Amino acid sequence: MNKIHPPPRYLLGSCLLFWGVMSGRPWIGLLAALIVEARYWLRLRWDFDDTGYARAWQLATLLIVVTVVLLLIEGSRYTVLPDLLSWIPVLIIPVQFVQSYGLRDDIPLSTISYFARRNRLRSERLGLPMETRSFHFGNVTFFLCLLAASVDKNVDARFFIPGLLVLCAWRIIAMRRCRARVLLPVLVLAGMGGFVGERGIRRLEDILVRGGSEGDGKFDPTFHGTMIGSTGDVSLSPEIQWRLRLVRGTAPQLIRTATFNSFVGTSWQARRSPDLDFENLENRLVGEDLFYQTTRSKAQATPTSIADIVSMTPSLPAYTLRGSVSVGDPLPLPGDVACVSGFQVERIEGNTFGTIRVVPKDPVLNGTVFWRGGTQPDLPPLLREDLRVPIGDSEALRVLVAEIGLSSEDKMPVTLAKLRTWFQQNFQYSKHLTIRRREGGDKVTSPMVRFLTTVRSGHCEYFATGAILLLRQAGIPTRYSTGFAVAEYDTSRKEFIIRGTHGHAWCRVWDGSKWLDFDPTPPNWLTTDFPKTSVWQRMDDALTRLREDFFLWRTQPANQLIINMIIGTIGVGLAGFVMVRLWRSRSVISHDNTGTMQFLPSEKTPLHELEPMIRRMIGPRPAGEPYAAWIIRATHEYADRPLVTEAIDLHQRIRFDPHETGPGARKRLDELAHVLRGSL
Amino acid sequence: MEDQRSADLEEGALPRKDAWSLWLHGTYYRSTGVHFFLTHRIRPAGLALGMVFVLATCLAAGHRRPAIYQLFSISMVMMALGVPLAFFRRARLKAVRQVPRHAAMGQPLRYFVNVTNIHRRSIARAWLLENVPDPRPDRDDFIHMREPGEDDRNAFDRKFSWYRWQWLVLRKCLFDGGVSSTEIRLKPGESMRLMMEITPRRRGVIRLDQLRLQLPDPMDLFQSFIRVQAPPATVTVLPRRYRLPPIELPGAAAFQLSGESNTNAIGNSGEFTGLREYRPGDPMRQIHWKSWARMGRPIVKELEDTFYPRHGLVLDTLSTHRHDAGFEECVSVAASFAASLDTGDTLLDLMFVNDRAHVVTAGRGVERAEKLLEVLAGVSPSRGGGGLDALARLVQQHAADLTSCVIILNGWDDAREEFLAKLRESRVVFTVLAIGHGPRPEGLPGIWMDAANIERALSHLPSRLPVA
Repeated sequence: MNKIHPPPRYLLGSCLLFWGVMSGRPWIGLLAALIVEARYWLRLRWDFDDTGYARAWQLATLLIVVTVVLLLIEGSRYTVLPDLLSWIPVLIIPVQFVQSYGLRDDIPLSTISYFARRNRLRSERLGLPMETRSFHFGNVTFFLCLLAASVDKNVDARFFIPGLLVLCAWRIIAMRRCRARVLLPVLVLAGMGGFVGERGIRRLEDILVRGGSEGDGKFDPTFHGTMIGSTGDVSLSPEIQWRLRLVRGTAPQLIRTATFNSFVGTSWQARRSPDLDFENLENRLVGEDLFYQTTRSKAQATPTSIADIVSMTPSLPAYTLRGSVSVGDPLPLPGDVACVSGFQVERIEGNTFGTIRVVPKDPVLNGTVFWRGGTQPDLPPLLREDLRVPIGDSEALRVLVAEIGLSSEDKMPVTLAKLRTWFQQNFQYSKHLTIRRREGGDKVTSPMVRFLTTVRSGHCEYFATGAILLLRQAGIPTRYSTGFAVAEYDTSRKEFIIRGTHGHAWCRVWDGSKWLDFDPTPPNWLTTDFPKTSVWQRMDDALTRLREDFFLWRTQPANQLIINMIIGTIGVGLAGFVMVRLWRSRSVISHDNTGTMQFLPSEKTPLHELEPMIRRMIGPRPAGEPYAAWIIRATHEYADRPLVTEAIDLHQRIRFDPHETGPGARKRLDELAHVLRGSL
Repeated sequence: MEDQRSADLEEGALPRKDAWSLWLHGTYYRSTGVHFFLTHRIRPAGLALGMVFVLATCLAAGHRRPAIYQLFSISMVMMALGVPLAFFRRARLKAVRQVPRHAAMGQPLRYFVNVTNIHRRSIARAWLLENVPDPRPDRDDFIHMREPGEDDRNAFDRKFSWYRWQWLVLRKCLFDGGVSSTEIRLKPGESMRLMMEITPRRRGVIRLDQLRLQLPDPMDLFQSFIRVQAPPATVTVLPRRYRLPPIELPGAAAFQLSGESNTNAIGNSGEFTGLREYRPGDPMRQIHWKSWARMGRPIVKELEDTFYPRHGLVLDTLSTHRHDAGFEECVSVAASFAASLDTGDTLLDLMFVNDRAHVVTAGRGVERAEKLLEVLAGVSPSRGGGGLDALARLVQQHAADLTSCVIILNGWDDAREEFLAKLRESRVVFTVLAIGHGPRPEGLPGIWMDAANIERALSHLPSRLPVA
């Protein structure tokens, strides 16, 4: 089997430093590197047995489990793996410690598995043959550090590949299995491949997922890729996204996360607004509550001050909103939201399309939303964009508008009622999509035109986009909004549940003075193909609730002190226990003999004459095995132990301490060698 | 063969054809083959890189982080470079092994290999490997054998029999190691000498005939695995031996005619006691010429008859259990006695049945103890029920010559009790060492040793072994 070499001196420390720098934790990386590399400067060692290694592994496992629990409480479950991996070099320090400061070269493989350990003990008890495999944990630390250095959110990717290549080259060259002049060109080639591959994957992802526009995978308030033109089933996550509990009044039917105004290909974009950039919302502290005004002054026909809005809040409909967020996530709010309060955030910002996003302090948000205050966060329409329809679709749209009888001259409720009726009578909601992006032979028609004219079946994105194009063709400024439908009420907890499956798209229609929410999708969309709540889902819901509620409970100042004291006590107690145990079982190894070497001529003794005979018996003496040990191994079955011991003692004295050896020593050794030869 | 074996196996409770076991055997057989193929071509760093690649793929699928994409890309490129760079390497070597005759079970065996580059190109960054012969058990063994203590395992382990498979593989695996630590760097036609080390796992004869060359890629991720032309070599692995305390075997000296009972000297022989005057009939070779010259009349040497104690070491090779762990320990105990008894002044007859009855004698003027160990290295368990009868007859034939016997029994049952009764009838003086699992059985007239703690049991043997 292939022998695995341990990492060379200082490589692990460098890896840990590399990880610390790349992940933005340089001091932790430095401390870990010092712990690992100090073995070369300290004389402290521990003679860990298999139990010691197993306990170190169990401690590391405990740390990993605790970290996973904390990560689940603190953040999204989808980022648990990368977040865990980004901390893994610290979490495995106990095992690396026993590897670095233990007296054994390797750790038995059975250390890391309870079953393997149990099986080994059983085999020992029954005297069965065993395959004892061991490994140097430094190699594991090496690879985990490199992996951990890549997964953190804060990694500066420009320095990752150079650092990775340097460390890999160091590792490979130190193994003495390859020469630098052969290795370096290959590694440089691999590094170039890494850079090109990264660019290629990003570009490919942009093309496949985002229709060619660049992004970083997070919520993008300027871009929304739809499933228009894609085939297959629409699948949304049934997980709880938000929970909404009424304080006063009724709940909104639709809560919006973003609004877009430009339909390009099959995606919606927010563009061509002169001040699309987000601005911090104005806020005011009233009592202990911080209120954020969601409406920017530019968005209002008659500007309302935050003081006025705050003074109105006791009479406005209100609900609390609770859910998990990360930096830059949108807040789902009604189209006529007035203000929000109570959210623990660094800041809340909004754009002129009415999209509100947050930079939270904590991963779980909880606050109050006030709405129906007569204000809106959206700016009035940009007629050029909000009336634009794709040129290729305009002819078909004109025919349809005439068929429906839409006109900008009608009153808005009449127009919208006509359109809703037309959709309900002639269309069918379906999550099974059949419209392809390109179809129709010579005459290429867009997926939307095919939806509106022939197929007439689709999901909410088709309905919203179709309605927008028809209204725009009729001269009514309309926008596309995404968000959630508030439809599921939990009677036992008296709260609305917002799941991923409640994700929805609808229209924002300008009636000349304000924006109106208009949902053209047939109302049965929530019952069509809606997945039943499984037992697993109920468990998942319970866990989500527990996680969020516990997080909010423990972040309350009154509870925070108690929790910190309990965790601190347990942590200090555990650390103290380990330290005391380590201190009691420590041992000190001797200094390296760094004095001047004294070279003496090599002394041959009569025992050396046995070498040819022993070589024939048990094979040649391997490099590194002392001559005395080799002799003992060869003679332990054939000769008296005291005789061999005396012979070896004399042999060593003659060779290494000739000045202290008496004149009869060589003669006596001659006799002993003769006896040994006879017994062999 | 199969019929005989099945009949001989304990209780005969196993089904003849167990479809599930056959399927398991096929699955394990193939998967072990794939595992062998991969582990001999993927270096540990390659394995780690593969894991990093899989993790990076999982992470890249859900998280848009540039460094993860870089890690994914670079690991993929490294693998894409490493595979052809390793597998397109070529070399041709000729090698000759210099292997000692004997090796000890569990002890490292070092030997030299002389290698010559017979390729037209130079070779560097190459390492030799002595490949282990295929240790996968055959279908018959897998279905019929049982891992010791298998009945105590949980239902899942019993159902899938993975641990039985592992046990059988380890049981068949001849040795560990076999990788040379010295890099081969040879120009065309050049030769060098390398030292190899293997650790035999079981006694018997090991045939070394699978020398391979490992040629890794520059990043040490993958390697090609090339056969090396080398004539096969064999080494006899002696059984495991334990240290015994000083032991005095039972039995008393007896006068025997004809001087030394075993000597290669022709005519009269014995210990010198003195000189006397020549009497007619004295052989010429006993004339002491110096004394005749000094005294002026013929003087001859007077010799006294000598007697060397002759002990029997009787090994019970009958193994009816589904695992032969006890039998192996019996061989080890026999080997420990063979190696420890002073054969300078005694004779030791090793008696056992292996297809037929065997007696091998070592001691003064006959063979060295090594011969007994060599014989013990090749002993295999006998499955036939008549083995003990044959052994009893063998001991009875030699009963008159034996001072005493050490009988090593593989367990204790009625058949063995009957065997001992027959020996008693022949007035053989013997002591019994029985080896097995569990507590001492009732009625055993000797020493019971637990197979899992043989070394400890042997170290506690009394200096005068009790006569049964």
